[in-house]
Amino acid sequence: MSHQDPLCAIDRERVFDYDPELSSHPAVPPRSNALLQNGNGGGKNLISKIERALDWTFRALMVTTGLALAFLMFAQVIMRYILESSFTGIEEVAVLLGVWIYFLGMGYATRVHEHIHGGVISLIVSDPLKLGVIRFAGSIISMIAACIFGYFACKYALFVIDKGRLSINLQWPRGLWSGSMIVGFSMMAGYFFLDAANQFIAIRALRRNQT
Amino acid sequence: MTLFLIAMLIVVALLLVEIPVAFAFGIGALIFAYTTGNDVSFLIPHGFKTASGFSLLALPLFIFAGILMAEGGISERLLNFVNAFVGRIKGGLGAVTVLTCALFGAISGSSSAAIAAIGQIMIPRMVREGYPVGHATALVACSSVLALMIPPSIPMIVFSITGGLSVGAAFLSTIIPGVLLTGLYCLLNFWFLRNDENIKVDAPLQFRQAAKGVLNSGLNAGFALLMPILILGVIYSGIATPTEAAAIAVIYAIPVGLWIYRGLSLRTLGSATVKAVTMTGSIMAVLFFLFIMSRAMILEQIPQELATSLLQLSDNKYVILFLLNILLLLIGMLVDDISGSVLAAVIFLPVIQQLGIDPIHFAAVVGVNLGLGNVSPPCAPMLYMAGGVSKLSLDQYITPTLKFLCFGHLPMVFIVTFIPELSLFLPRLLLGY
Repeated sequence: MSHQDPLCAIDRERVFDYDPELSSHPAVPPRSNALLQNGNGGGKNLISKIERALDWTFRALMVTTGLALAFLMFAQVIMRYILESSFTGIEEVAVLLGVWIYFLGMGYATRVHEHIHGGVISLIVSDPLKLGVIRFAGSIISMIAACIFGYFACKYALFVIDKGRLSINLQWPRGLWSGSMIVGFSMMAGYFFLDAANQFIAIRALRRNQT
Repeated sequence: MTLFLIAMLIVVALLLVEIPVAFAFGIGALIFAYTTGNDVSFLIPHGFKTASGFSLLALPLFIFAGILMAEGGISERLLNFVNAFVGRIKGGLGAVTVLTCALFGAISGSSSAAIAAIGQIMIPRMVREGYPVGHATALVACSSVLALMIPPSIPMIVFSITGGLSVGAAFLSTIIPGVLLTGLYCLLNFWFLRNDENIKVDAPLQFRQAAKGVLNSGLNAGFALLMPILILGVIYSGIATPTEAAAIAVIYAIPVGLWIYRGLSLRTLGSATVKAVTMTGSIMAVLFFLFIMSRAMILEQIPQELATSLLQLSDNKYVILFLLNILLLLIGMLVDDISGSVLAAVIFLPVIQQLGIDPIHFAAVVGVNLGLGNVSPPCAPMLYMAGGVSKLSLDQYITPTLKFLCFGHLPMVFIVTFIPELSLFLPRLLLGY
């Protein structure tokens, strides 16, 4: 991915940061961000390349759906008052873009650790190893939850696709809407897995350093 | 009920070990559904259908508009505008912080964005002018939650949609409490600093110079100040729905950021969009799992059981409101404002309706309470975030924070709870509610 690429330049600064570790607890190690980029492969191994390509794709999709939703809803107001005709299909497309925004956002929030969380562990546990183990367990639990919900979401989405249901106004396949859940839960499960792998490597390194 | 309480205890335990709020509720919902014999296969479609409601589209669009304005470079302009009014009196810089947080909230709707944008500028500036760093940090943390009360407020959107209430009326219900709290924090700031000899104050300007300063900074910040007026104007004049108003705000914010304030470029527009979608995703994850949890609760008639239990304690509505305040404060201390507003809508609205309390009044009670919870430990995201900006540990600014909360926010909670007219005045005046 070239540095001239505008999507590459999208920064990773947090806005919605609920992280108690921001209280600058001296012993708390920072959360590793988006794994494998910090790995030994130096971005050259296949997994790293796939992950970066997926990252670029997700960002491109997020930018497209986000801007499209804003312009579409604005167009609805313009059509109503200036062209004096509203197109009922707009609401269907808006919801379609909306659900893709939600589930892409959920998946990407997992990648950049933007999921809302509270807790006091970072404040009371100062041992990086213990904290690492707790976070590893947290990632595993979250991954299992994402897999379970992902399974049920897939079951529902596939049911809708199999039935061949169509939207009311545009007659588009309803699977386009429910398919967003499959992508979202897959992203969440995958990123939690990679997160757990990264944390496991960090724990091993810490143990080695301590001994 | 016992199974529900066990599920909630598991949720709390997971929250305390920093499992993301969404997944803590997801796991709680799974456990609750399985133990009560509900099929998760039927709960997922409910979560998806509720999340794909058209009115909920206001959420990503308001978040997007707020981020665009914040990235577009409004914070310095707002600060200069407010500074032109109160910057040259003792403690004035503190008042500037409070007022700018309130204005910023009206534009961005996000308290974390207020801390990031205003705190990073104002904490160092206040410290340079001799303010105690703990006071400066506490002031930013406490003022940031004004963003939750001044519309467009994201928790109010979520609360009203979950509870089936008018978004416009819920927005209006927290305006007067928000404005009063803004004034109260300004007064407390002046009061706490009255004997502090270290604070530097610039010499006052002559009237003409001061008026010129106000005019210039007002013109400079005009496009930013126009945004909340535009949003509320199109909603309450009936021109657009809240969702459409949010889209208008996005379309307004793009040229303002790109060509007028020049804080945005095409590249940062992409970055802001990714931030907005990610933030929306993190909120929607919580909502999706809470919708599933709430469905399971409704199937098991948990809200009704809770209502009956509460009403068995007392049938006096003021006693129940007091108890609800305590419960909301506890919820606010444990979870974020978004989850808190969904839980309040699902669990407490049936109680409120049985008691004959106005749901829009209750929306204001929820908004004020959850704001307090956001800065009350142990899970006080805004408090920790402000500490992160000033690089202080909690013990260095908890005392001034508690002073602001005890003399400012807590009395406001009781005022809003026991004087319903305060929150119902504007909805009645503007919407004939």
